[in-house]
Amino acid sequence: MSVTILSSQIISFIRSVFIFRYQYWCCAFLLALLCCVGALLTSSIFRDGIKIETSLQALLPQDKNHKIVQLASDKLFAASGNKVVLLVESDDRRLVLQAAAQVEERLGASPVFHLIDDTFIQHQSDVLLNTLGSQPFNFLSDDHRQQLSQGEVSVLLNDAHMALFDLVGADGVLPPDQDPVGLFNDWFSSAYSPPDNILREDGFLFVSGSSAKLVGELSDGLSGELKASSTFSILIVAELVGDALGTNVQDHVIQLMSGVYAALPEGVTLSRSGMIFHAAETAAKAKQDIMLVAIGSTIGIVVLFLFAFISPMPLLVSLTSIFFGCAAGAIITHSLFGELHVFTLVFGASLIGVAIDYSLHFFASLYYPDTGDSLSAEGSQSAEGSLSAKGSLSAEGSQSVEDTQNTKRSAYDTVAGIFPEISAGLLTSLVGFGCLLQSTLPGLDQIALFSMVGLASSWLFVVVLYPRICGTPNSPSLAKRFRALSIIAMAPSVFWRRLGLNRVKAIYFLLFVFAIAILWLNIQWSNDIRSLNVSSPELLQEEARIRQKLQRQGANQFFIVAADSPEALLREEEVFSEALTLLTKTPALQAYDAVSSYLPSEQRQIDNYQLIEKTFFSDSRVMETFMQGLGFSAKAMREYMSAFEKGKNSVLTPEQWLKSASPELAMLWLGDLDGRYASIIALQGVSEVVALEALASRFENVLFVDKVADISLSLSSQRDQAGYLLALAYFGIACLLLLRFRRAKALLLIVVPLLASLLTVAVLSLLKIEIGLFHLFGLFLVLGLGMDYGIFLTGPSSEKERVLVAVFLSAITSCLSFGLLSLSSIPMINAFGGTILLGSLFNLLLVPLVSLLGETRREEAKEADPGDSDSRTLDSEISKLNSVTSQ
Amino acid sequence: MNVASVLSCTFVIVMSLSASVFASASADVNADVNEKANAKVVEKSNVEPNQNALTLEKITDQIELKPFLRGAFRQERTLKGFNRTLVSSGQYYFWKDHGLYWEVQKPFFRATTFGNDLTISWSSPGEVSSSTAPKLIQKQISKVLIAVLGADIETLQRYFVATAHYNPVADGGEEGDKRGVTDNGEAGERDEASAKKLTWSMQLEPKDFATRKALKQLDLIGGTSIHEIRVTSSNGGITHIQFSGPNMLEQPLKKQCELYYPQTTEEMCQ
Repeated sequence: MSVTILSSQIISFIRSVFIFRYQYWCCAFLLALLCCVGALLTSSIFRDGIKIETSLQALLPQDKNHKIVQLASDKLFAASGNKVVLLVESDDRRLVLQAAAQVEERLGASPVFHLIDDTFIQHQSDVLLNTLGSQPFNFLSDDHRQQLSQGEVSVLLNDAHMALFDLVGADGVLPPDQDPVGLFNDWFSSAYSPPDNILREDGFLFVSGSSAKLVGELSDGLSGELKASSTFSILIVAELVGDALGTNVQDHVIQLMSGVYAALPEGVTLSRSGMIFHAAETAAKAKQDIMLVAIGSTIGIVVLFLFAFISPMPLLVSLTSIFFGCAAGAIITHSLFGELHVFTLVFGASLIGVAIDYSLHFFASLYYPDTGDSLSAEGSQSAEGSLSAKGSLSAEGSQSVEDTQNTKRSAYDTVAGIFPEISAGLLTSLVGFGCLLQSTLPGLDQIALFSMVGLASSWLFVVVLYPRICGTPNSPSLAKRFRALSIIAMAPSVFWRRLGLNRVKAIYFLLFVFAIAILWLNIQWSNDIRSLNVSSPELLQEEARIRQKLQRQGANQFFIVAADSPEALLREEEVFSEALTLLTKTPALQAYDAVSSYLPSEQRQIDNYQLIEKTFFSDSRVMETFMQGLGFSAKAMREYMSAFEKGKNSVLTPEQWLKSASPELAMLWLGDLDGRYASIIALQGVSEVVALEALASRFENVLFVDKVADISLSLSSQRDQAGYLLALAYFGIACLLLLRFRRAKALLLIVVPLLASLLTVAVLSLLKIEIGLFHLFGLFLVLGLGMDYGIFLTGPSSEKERVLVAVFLSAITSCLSFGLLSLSSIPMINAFGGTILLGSLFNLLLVPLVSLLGETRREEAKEADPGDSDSRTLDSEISKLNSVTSQ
Repeated sequence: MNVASVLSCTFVIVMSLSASVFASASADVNADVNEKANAKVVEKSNVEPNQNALTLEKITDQIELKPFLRGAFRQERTLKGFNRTLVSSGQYYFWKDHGLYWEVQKPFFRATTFGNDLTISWSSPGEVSSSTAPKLIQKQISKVLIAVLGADIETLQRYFVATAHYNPVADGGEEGDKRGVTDNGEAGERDEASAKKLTWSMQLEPKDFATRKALKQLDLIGGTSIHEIRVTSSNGGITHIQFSGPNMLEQPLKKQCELYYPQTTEEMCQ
């Protein structure tokens, strides 16, 4: 913020030194520079391609405290971004099979989906078994390790012998000649055991709702076992071919899924889960919002302009300036960030309502007749004083204003006349948006930069090009239109004035008291992550349904284990897993998935091999005797012994395992992260977070991650941070005002947005809306807009009526664009838009109060410092306003 | 989409894929990677689909099963790497809707009850060594076994492509049933008593690729009940089970019932 204050001082200094003509050419140079840079950047964007980001992951707060956690989250996200899971359900088995077949057929025929079918799965399991089976003597289940360590070999051999005669026997993943005792088979079936609620039947994956008691009739087939709550559920998994975030793919998926839903037989339901559905929904909603805001704002602006200025020229020029601002914002933001988030475009579309202000002030000043003659002579003097106090107009500009009163002015003079106000307006908006840059939500950086560049570019366009392209109007109807508009625009001023000063003061005081009382009693803060949620309730319900079916409730919590080497990491996991296994015997946790369950550390593999060697292959030749007794051929025995010898000192490394492991298991291995190796331990059925946290705290290299809690905490701290930044923004703008007017009463200007903000939050609280981060971000704009209105009103008093009309038109456009945002179905945009809509309305209602309250202090100020031209300026301006409103 | 959705989504996908892979891997036996997975089930039978359906329907009608069936079996298993056949014999009880009791008597005693809710191992007659709720995959195996022994064709067809034909009868009194059924199911109009003497063969090939990698083929031979089962594993192992002396009853005796419900109340096994 100190930078902002410093820059404002520099600007004041520049403005006090240079005359407008120099400022104009400076602006022209900046515009030319902007155009050149923009052209260069545009060519590079077209060369590299435009990238529109629709994933909300980009907007989520980054975990800066633990880089490793962020990397883990990113990896999880990347690993599953292109998968979709569908759940087809019905009470009727025949129907569910028919529907699932239909869905598979449609997905299979689609060019964007690749069904994860038998072929794919079998290939994966083949590769995995080949890798693991190449080292069959390195793996032992916990039970077998214990038995062998305690020398309980006879039981083991007896069981293996008997199993050969079982009805269902000798059917492990390795045949008896490769695993006579069944050691590897036992380890494999315990480590890679299938979930107990999913079965294959009729070529489909049937899922049960609960692993509790499964009761079924044989007539229902095996899926009858899975028929929980009399519903048959079939799981379909597919992989997305192409970019889930590509708009073409999203459009195709939306179309495909609507076809799938339409073709579902009656009595069948379909649930979806997958990033693509969220991304497609987000993109569709964002597109809808952009269309709503852009079209709504544009129509509003077209109607307003045609009514207010009759000629289509102001409209076309204004739209061009807005387009220029948006294009510049988009190009520079895209170039700096390498992409544009779709939310940036949504918020950007709402900027139309702010950027149009500059055009409105220009055309109101250029097109409407001057009312200076209706004011007292003091008006012109004070206008002069005002200008000199600001020191921003050249003698030429100043002279022009004086000379052309009651006459039509040139566009150049008009720009010179409004330059201080629109510049101050821009500055306050930049301060407001600049504060958003302080947020740690990454998406807001883009929004802030887009808005700042967009507004500054529109401002440059107005200042530099309007004098060159706008002619002097010549329509006899303009005066009538102006009169009509000014009656409406002045209504609030007239209303306040008729109440009388004392009543106004009382109302002002009461409003403050009311707002503060409401806030004190009713305000409810929210750090609910649902505010970041844009997915439809239907999609969330469907996802919850799939999660419930698959019994994955603890999806947002996991452990991260870190160590200096892959081997150290696996050993660390093995030690931690022992403690975790104990925890699974309590209600705190149901189960967990760790890499070391699937791939023991090298040390453990060697230990296992040595244990087997000592037990079966030592001098006692237990294995040889056993195989001989069973009737194995001499050849089979030789091959088995030879395989054992070959396996000596060879271990399966994480690199080898990762090549064969399914992507879903490999995802648990985070690998090398800045010199440290890390892995994830996924959890199922978490019911006592405290116990998990306590366990992790006992291990130096283990971190418990609770994403929901972390994000809620992050939102909470960002909300606090936003509150401080807002206070800082008020302070910064107060300093700017003091620098500009050099009188404390200038601070009255800041009272308008302050009270408007308080009232906005009070009304929201009364409506039982919880105040969150995005409401606070909206308040930054309320501050910026409120300051704009106030500052515009501090311009030359001869302009007051025109300024009030311009402020009125400006407030209408703001309300229109932000009001349309408040209709958004996306909670964060809705909160943002709603806050600004209310804030703008309060700003518009309260702005005239500045002049009324200022009036009460005028005499006092004069007494205090009769020679102070600055104080005269503000007071006289306020008195002009009063005289106008009283007419 | 909130972060919960993002992560939930991730884990849902992980879970479902893992499920698929694990379910597949567990059923696999010494997989040969070179055998590409895109092999479709080829219906080797020359029998027309409609004709096959009629045959299966007729077999279903022909099966005569009372709620409780008691019989003897002899099992011969030939496994890769062995220089002898593993022979065992014993008795079995098949109790409809309650499960299968399989008792190996030779070369040693070993018995298992594949019940609906329990898998019970017997260390000696009447002595339970373990009683556990079976995992779903184990239940799947026992249900298939029960469907095989009960010749429950409807259930079997959920897992296998079934092709069937009637075998020529040795006594010459009956014609080969292939012909009879080929004639648009006219066999159904034959004399019912003679039809019951017909024997049939059924070939079952797993529909599911994962199961196919473990189990190449199941061959059943039967009449009014199952006579023989031949299991050909993908790794070359062959198990041949012959059944004899089936004795059908309306309900089991108390001691037989207790093999299914060893710790239940008396009412259950009166």
